[in-house]
Amino acid sequence: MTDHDIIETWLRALMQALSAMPAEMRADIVNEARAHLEERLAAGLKAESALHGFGTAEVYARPFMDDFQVHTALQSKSSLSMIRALLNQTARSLVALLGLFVALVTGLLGLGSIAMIAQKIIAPDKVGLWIWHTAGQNFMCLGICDGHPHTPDMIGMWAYAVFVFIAALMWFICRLSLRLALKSLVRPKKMAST
Amino acid sequence: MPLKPPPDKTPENRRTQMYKGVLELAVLSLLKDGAQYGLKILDRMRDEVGLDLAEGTLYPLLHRLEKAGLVKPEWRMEQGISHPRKYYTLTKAGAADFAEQRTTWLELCDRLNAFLQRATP
Repeated sequence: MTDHDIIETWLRALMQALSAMPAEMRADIVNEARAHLEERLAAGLKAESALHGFGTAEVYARPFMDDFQVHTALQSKSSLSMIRALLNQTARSLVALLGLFVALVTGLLGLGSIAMIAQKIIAPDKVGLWIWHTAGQNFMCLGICDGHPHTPDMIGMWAYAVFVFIAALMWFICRLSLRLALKSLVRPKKMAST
Repeated sequence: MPLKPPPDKTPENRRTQMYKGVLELAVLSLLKDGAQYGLKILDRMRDEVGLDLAEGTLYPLLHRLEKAGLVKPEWRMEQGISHPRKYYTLTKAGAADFAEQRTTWLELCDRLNAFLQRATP
């Protein structure tokens, strides 16, 4: 196998590893690597030495694929794509982990609010806002509360509006945290600010 | 018998770790001199900065800088070369970003140097 054969095999593997990308973007990355490798070979380097700094085609392709996935997720605006892109980054990025955590918590709170609306339709008197005073302390319960003394529900049918508002707010924060985490990944890593 | 430093504490490794944080600044600074292509950037980084950068680090970084709009790529066919080269030029946004990062870095260096030189070893 000649040096050129080894390089061509590696470039084919790179093309394969980048197969999820649009053809033009993929060709750009492969052609740049090809130009670099050919120049190194022309300077007298062996194929193994020229390829050493690139690593395997899969390893070399990974940061390009990660970047592509993050950009695609941001452009698609789909929550599922954004979650998937962040999940791929969690092992390497604390921001991705934090973004996902906030999204998970707010997502669950949003779903909980929707569940409260459903429960309010099924059993209106079980869902509401109660405030009561026991043993010198004030207690408050929003949602389903079984442990309160017999005090009247403070919001009645307004519970629908309250839970719709909470669900919308949580949905907004959830999407915002996903977008901000992804945007921070798009930017090249800068040195730590003083 | 003197103790051998662990592999991750060799002077070479330490220098690489220190440079990692300012790699983007070094690349932007190099492009401030004019358009360059990947292989030339690698060679100049090694010769002028003393940083033996891997291709697997540089090209993804250039790709990210391109996506961030800090550099603009252009394929050029040159005389005597059998293949086109991808040149990177600093954009206006890239130049502004470089100026900001440079100021931050120089301030940090000044303060750190003064701190480290307060007592001789």
